[in-house]
Amino acid sequence: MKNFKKVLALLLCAGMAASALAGCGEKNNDTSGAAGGKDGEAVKLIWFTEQMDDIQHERWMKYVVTPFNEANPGYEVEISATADYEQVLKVQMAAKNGPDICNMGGPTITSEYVKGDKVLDLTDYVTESGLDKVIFQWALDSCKVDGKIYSIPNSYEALMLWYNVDMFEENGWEPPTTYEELETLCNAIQDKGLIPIAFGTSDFKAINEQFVSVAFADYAGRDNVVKALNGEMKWTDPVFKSSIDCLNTMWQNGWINDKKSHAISDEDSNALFYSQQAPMRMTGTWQLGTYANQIQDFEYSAVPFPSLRDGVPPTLPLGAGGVVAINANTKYPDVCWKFIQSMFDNKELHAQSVAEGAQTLPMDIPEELYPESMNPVDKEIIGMLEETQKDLSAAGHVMWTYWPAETRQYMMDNIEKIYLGELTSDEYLEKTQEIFEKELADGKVPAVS
Amino acid sequence: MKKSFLKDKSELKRWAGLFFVLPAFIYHFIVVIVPSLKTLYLSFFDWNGIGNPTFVGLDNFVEMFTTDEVLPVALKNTTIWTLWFVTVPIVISIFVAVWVSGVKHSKLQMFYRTTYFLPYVLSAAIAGKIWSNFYNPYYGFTTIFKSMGLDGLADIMWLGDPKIALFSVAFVSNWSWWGFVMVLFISALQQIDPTLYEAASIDGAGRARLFWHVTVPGVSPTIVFIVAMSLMWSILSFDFVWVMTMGGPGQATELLSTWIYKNAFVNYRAGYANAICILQSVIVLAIFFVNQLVRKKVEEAV
Amino acid sequence: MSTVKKRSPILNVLIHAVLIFLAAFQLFPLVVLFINTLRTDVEIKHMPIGLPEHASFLNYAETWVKGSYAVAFRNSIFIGACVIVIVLVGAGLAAYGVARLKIPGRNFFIGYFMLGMSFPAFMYIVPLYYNFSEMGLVNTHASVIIIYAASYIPFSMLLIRTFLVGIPRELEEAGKIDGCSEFGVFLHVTMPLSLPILATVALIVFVWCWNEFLWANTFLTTDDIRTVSTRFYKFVGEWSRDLAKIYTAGMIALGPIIVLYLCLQKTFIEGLTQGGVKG
Repeated sequence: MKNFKKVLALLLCAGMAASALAGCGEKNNDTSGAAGGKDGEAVKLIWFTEQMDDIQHERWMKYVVTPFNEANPGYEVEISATADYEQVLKVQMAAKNGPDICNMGGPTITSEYVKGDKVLDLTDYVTESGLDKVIFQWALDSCKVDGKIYSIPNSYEALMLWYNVDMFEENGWEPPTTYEELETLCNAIQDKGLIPIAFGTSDFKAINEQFVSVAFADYAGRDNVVKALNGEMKWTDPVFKSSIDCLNTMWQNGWINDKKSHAISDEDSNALFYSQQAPMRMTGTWQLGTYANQIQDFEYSAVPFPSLRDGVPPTLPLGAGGVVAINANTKYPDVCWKFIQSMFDNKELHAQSVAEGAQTLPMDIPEELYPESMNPVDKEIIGMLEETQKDLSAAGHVMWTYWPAETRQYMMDNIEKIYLGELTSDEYLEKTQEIFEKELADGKVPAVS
Repeated sequence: MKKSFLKDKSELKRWAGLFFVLPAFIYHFIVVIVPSLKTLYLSFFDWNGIGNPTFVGLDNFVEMFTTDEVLPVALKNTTIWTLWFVTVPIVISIFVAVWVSGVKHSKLQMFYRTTYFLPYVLSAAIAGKIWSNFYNPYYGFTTIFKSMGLDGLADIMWLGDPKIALFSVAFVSNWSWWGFVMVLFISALQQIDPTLYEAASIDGAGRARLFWHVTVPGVSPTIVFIVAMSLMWSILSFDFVWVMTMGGPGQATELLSTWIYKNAFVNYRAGYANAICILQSVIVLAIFFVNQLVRKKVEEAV
Repeated sequence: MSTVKKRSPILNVLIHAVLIFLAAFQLFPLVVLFINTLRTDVEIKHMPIGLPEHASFLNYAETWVKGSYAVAFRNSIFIGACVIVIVLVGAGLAAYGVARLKIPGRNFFIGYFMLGMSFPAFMYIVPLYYNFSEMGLVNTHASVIIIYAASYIPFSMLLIRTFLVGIPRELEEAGKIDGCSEFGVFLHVTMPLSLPILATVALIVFVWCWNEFLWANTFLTTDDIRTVSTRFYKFVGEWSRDLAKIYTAGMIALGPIIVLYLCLQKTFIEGLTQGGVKG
């Protein structure tokens, strides 16, 4: 008894001390953002974003938040970054609460919020401010739900085939542009006992959609994908079946991470690329900042994945990396809009933040705005992105921007079953078509151009 | 209270006893059950988890038993998972609890107890990452098996082979879990009346007989309790699978809980996810009734 | 006690071998984790398991400061302490009532708490968030304390009840004959006897509070009130994460639990040597 009392007393003391130190522990910093500011006090607006580390946080503060706060006395935008932010955002918004300005993973996610009337219609803001002429048309179009704009794309990205320039030069290899070249190259790499393309999905199934997006873009081709997404063509069409079969062949040949992509994580596949066990790596342009930090032993670059069928050009699957929307409950919609607009206003500041590793906004940035110090590889790849979007004939579609949620989830979970021989491409696409039709009828598929 | 009062008003006393239970009951009811009822109600709706649910009657339940091809797989995997967790960790921990509490050197005993329990404390996100590294076909266990010349073992893809992946994850979850069960058993061991051991050994009982005739009956209420808890928790189990395989490869490690999560937060079908939650609760309810029967028998025997 | 037959030496050695093997098996991943905390992020990203090139404790200092662990520890300890008190009082009373008093609907309560445990958090997180934000409780320690206490009471109550059922009734009867009230018996006879189980519950509840992520991450949104379990996410960026610091954060979070375990378990060991339970 005595002992227990001691322990309990100790714990209580610790608790009380803690509460005293933490300023009584009971604070009510209302982050709902719905609370208005008192006279003389700046109105706080909460900008809810994905988890970010210190470097990212500093960058956003330096190039976006602080300039805005200084230019708009009386208002103070505050970044609130949280782990699992989509889940937290969903809980908060569903409970009629939530931040003023919120980042979301993509336009299809925003459309779910639109159904609950949780986000504002931004169409008028966009046309009045002239942002519709600044933001790339395709990117803005992808954010439309029933013809209205509910979110603004705040980055764009593409899937690319990254390669180790040093290893390629040593061995006299060239980045492939056709299936035949890819085949020759992968065989040569395998003969050296290496893994052709590093790729890992065990800890994050959504990565599977990268190769599916690539197969559709580089085999079926842009036009067919657009037709299918608009419901004018079925996913069971032979051209999609052949795309999936082609992808499966590449996997069975061991080109995609030696038939072990499902057994290793995304970070593991990066490790294979870093340690030069794999001269190529399939991933997106969001890796620019990471690779600049991690890769010091060799030169690297990226190219579009090769064409997989005659008549289809090597295609870059493009998409909005994320979008930003305004909570329908906010008391200051105009200020929130002003904040979003401010991101696009100052191209020079934005170019600097891109040079420091931020993702590019979907707008035209003159090359001379980028500082001298910028990593040449980054500059080259961003240039390639801008070129692609000018002439969309070589631009594909990434699943996370254009596919409705359930179809997407089915496709990324089950493509592994095809690799493992548990499912045929026919069965896979039939089920895909079935789910897609249901979602199309429910209005969950955005119009794609 | 006076003795006479106790005797005379035993019926009143019976009801007064409720005051011991009601605070916890009411508190839990308000915080957990009341909000849950709203969610249960929403299982009859097509609801994306954010707003404006549309009533669809029993559609979600019909879908569960007809068109959902993943649910049977998830149920099968959850059953395997549950069978593992009502046997393996309980057997290990009961033996280890007995052996550890028999270690006379008290510092050594503390060392064992702390070590066995530690993995339970480590966050699943980090533990899962470390174990995924061990399972990696390029530098994990594979390297060790290869150097031992065990090529058959070295070629296994622990998280990639659909036949093995579920057990690989269960193994890790087990690593983290059994120390926790052991802590429960150790505290149960202490209430066994030491005189029982003396009496039994005077009768000439050996170690094994002491274990089966004194220890096991002594902790049997705890065993029943832990089996019930393990059943319930393994049906809800989520962390390690989510961190290590996210239900994959394919649907090889899909559990009820991960399928509920995917529907609620990836597919934006919270109404349907709630319907699966109800199925989950019905299963738990069934387990509970079986457990009630067993519990009463065991406790009457004690 | 001396009458209990000695174990055969061979068996004894075998049992010790098993115990040592299990200790090594349990510890090995933690050792790998610890070694990784001495490496840099670049080293880990190139080779996830390996020895450090230059072992350094720099990660610990950086993680502690950047993750503001001093504040996080205070928050978590405060929350844990409050929850332990509420749970021990609530669950202790309820367990006594159900195990010892012939109250009406005993089985109903046992069943209720068993079912209550099985409610997944996702069933009530949205409505609860709504209610709490109406009451101004979101982003306060009170919010998570209320939730943790409520969700840990069922298990604690059932565990204590199971223990109480095994305690001989005669002791309590004696207390009653001595003139104690029902509550007096509870306080002076039953509670001291159930000390080991109460210590166990306190430990378990504390560990749960310490590691809980979902509620803490959803309800505590500003850095100054966040708990330890949500801090390692400070090192997760949008596209990459600093593994060295995440691992270090995991190690740091283990520390207080070890201390608490050793403190609480002392009551066990003493109980053991006095009671003389041998297996």
